[in-house]
Amino acid sequence: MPDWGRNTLELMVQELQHPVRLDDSFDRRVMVRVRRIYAERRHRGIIGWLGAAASISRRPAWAAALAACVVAVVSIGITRGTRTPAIPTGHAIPVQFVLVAPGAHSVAVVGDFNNWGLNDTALVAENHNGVWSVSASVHTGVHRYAFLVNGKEWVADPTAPRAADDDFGQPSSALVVEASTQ
Amino acid sequence: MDSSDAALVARVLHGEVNAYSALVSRYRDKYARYAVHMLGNREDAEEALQDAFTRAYRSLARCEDPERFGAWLFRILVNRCRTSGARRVRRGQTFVHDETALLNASEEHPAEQTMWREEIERALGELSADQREAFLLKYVEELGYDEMAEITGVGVSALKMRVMRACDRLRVLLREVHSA
Amino acid sequence: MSMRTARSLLAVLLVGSAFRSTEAQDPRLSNRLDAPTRKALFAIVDSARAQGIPVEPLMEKVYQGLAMGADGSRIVVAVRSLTLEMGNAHRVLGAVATTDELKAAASAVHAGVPAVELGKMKKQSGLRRSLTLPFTVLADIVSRGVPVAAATNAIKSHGMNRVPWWMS
Repeated sequence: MPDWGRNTLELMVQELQHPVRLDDSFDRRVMVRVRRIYAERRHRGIIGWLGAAASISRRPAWAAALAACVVAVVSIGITRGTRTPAIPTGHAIPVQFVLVAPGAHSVAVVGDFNNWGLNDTALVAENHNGVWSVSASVHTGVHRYAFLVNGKEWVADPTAPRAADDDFGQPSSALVVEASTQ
Repeated sequence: MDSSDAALVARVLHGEVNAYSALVSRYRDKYARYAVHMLGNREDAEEALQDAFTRAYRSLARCEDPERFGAWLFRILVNRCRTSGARRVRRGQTFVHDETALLNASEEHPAEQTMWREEIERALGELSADQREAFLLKYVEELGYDEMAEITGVGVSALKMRVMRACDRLRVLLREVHSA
Repeated sequence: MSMRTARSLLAVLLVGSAFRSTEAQDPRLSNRLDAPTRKALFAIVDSARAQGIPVEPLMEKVYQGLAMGADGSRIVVAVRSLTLEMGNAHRVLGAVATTDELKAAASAVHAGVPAVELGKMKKQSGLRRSLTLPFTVLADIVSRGVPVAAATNAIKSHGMNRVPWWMS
């Protein structure tokens, strides 16, 4: 029983100041939400940009397609109001690739930036509750790439522009990493 | 690699979303304490804290001073706790008396200690949300009044009044318990 | 031997050595491509180099085909097609165009945008501004079914003069 001779509130505060520990699953739950926001933002923000650009008064059948375009501008990321370091041509910057694929057993990112290597140089994504992600240093430039799901299915990045080639009957996406002049 | 708040924020804003997990780990336990005592139960506290981290990520580009990311995050958490608390009041819920805590009393947390903890939480629950918030920020989180004003948006004089009233009320409540 | 012939021969030797050195470094080229395919690709790459077309994107196309399990003939067709598209782009964009702009422009051409339209966009934007991103977007939206005219107008009116909100 607390010693009521001491300041009761002091004792109360001491008790309240004991640390409260959360387990590591808390971190995982937060990061699942954060990664989903990241993936959604790339898709939605780009649609908004091109939707505003369209200025379509009449809405023909392809208007939805125009409004539904996406651009993967990942070189600078979301840096509103902050200074962006200049990225010289030829430099590499970290790029995050994210794919929501709850049923997948493995996801890798393969593209121009790793010479389409399937084994040693493939970028193997980590699974966080069905949201697969991997970070890679990608040099400035234009890169074609795709996700390889379960080692056999090629999937384009839903948040990126399609690479407009159908040369091999498989979908792929385009990534533009631009040099910054800021 | 520089792991300061500012460096981590910069990495996240450059597209390295996984760097955000370092910020989550850094502030998770520290701010969980405030949320638990403010909301009175762990479940609501975890939800408010998750919400705060998520909101902070969404508006990370608007963090004007990334070196003080922690303080900026805390402000978001305080607001989330206010919203969560108001929602609970509308639902008619109050601080929950956890009887299982007594059943689970152990050597590390003997029953007496658990009961004392229960009484503290009950007393906190009897305060108004404003008073509880001010008391926790001042005495448990040990913030200065200027910091509290920045976080809560309330003037220093009003905060001092709330703290004083909270202390008076808590003394009465705890004395009543002791006398009972 | 005239100087012109000597320069051509030197170019062939350099391109050939570049292709062969890549072959030596990456076993996929020798393991997965048969001799006729390698010969055909060498000729395409050689021709591209002579026209001033960057070779790297062509090699990337080869690797893409290998990764996606395409046979040799399909890879040759794809590389030849890319070479033609880059050549068209190179002619209208001129020597100032970067490799990335040519790659992106080739994608737009592949999607159905006339190369001459890309030249007009380049003139409108000014020679110093990179059109890698607008060309990439243009290729994407045209390949999704948006008519070329509407797509180019949209890119011209907004895509070249304004950065997305998340970049400002």
